Amino acid sequence: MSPASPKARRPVGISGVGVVSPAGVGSELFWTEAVEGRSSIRTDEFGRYVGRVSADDLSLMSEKVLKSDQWALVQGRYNDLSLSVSHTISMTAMAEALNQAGWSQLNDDDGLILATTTGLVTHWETALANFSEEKKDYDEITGRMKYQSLGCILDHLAISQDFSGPKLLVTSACAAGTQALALACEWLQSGKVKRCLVGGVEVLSQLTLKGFESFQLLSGELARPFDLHRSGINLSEGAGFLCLELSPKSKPLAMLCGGGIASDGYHMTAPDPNGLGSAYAMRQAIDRSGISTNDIDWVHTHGTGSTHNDAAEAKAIRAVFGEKDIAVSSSKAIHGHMLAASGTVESILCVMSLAKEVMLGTLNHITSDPDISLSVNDNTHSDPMNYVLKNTLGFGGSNGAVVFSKYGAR
Amino acid sequence: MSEVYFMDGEIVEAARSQVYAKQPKFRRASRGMMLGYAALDSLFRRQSWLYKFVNERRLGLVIGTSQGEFETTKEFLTTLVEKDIARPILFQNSLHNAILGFLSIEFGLKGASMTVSNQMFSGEDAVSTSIDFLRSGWCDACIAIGLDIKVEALSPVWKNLDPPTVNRGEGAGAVLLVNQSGLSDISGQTPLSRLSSVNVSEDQSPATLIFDQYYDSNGISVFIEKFRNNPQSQKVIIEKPSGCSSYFQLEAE
Repeated sequence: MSPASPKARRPVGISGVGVVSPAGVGSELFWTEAVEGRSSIRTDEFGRYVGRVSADDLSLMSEKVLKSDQWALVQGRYNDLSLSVSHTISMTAMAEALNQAGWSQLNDDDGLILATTTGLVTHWETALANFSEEKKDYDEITGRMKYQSLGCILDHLAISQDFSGPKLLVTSACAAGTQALALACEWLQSGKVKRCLVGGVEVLSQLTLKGFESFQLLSGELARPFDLHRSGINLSEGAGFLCLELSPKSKPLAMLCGGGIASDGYHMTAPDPNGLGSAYAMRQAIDRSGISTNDIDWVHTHGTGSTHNDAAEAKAIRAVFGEKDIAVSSSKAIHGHMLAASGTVESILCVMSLAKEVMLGTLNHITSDPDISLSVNDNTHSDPMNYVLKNTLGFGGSNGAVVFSKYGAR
Repeated sequence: MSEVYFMDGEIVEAARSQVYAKQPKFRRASRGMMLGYAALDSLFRRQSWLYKFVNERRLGLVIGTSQGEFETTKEFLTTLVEKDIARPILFQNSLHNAILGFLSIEFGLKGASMTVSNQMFSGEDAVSTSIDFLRSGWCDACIAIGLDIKVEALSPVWKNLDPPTVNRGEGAGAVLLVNQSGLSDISGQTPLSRLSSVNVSEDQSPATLIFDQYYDSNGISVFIEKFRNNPQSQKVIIEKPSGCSSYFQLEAE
């Protein structure tokens, strides 16, 4: 079925971005690593290939966040637990995005949407696992459980901005970041908010590391998206924030045109092997942007490097684009899979690609898989693209896609 | 801007979901999934026209939950620490979005879907996001579910955290919302009410949101109950602990 075709609405300007990744702090650094094809995936003490924000970076960020937010501290709005990894990296990425956009702070007619799956789990997972009623170690666990609910992280960000406008936390697994962007686009185009800050954050935890390991989804090497010999994913952590506005005061980095959201209704963890839900979400995003598949220059894929994801996503892309020789890339081998944050962090790469007229390659795609009938772009090169499609898939059969355009493309 | 109609609602308590526990198809399901299933099943039994008039890709689903699959997460972590075993089934069920995945498979829902979480306002956020879905044209009908479970093993902990007036419960509520423009195709269906807005009023002082959490995302349940008791109501205000409230603006049909 083809999605109902709504009238295309005015695209939304992206006036600022902010990133914290295993490569370090800042979107320009993140971009440089991606363009130069340097991976920030390393082996940990257990021999797993993961992307981790360095302890030095975290320490510097914590110090800065605390210093820059004296008002909140004086008000007693933080305590020791507030500065978790997720809080620290979110605040840092958010500050970069706001600064770049020239927003002094959020107003109550703005919106705030955050995507995360396990954002606060590191607060409490060890205490919870060891808790038993017999031991009655309630004090330790109570302190940790105060911050168990995912909504806490959104509240902390809102409090830091003294913000009481519309806010939402999206937790649709790995599709959450892209879904958050699609929804933010709707909030802006419908007039619900004037500006919207959208972020995604994810931290490495025992829950996700051991959980994905139990599925045998972790690769024993650097991920090889769409490669014949791909063997799994590299888990990672980070945060990515974007400032969206309908009427930017200065030239935006790029535009967000529209988004699509769909469900597979197929399997709890595996994608629909024919990629039907993902294809529907991509078609929706293209239709709602008022363009056709012929206008899309590049697809930045979810491309995790897992056998099933890449095969299903390839079928979805082929179903959407038909015979068109569309260029596709995955940047997962550069920065790893940040789960819910992947949608926003990788969207920032799309935005910067449009702004800098560079199409990114696919690091570690070496041997083409004959079952993947896509033109996987291996080499980063100059390309003055007009439209880029960002696609994501997630556990629970959740899918999301958004279309970005170069400023002035229409 | 198109109107959104509140067609029906269904509330289930934990006890009602337990009838599923012994059925083979729920062998690998969490209690949260069973609660969601019970609410959705009851709704679909009364609104069976949905499958006939609404394409599977045009029927949305939004789940709002504060605790989500926290009980399963605890089980996963406890098993990991005590037995050094990471059980895949517990991991897949431990993510908040697992309930949505389960329900979309069981009921064949393939439209726009999202899981949202905002502590005591999770249910309200599910309704307001469903309205966003309808108004944006992503779907013609959308089901908003507010759902939370009580982790019994942690009852003493919650008692330490919650204000004395809060008595935690568990349950699920499902509301069917339909876009006005979509109604022309739905012969003979009478909407219960027109829902024009959902507002959340949050006092952001730390004593309200950080320290006095009230996890039951029961906004939808209260909304349905209050509406059923007084169908002429023009507004439903749901008071939350420590002065927070949400507000549903309804127009009687």
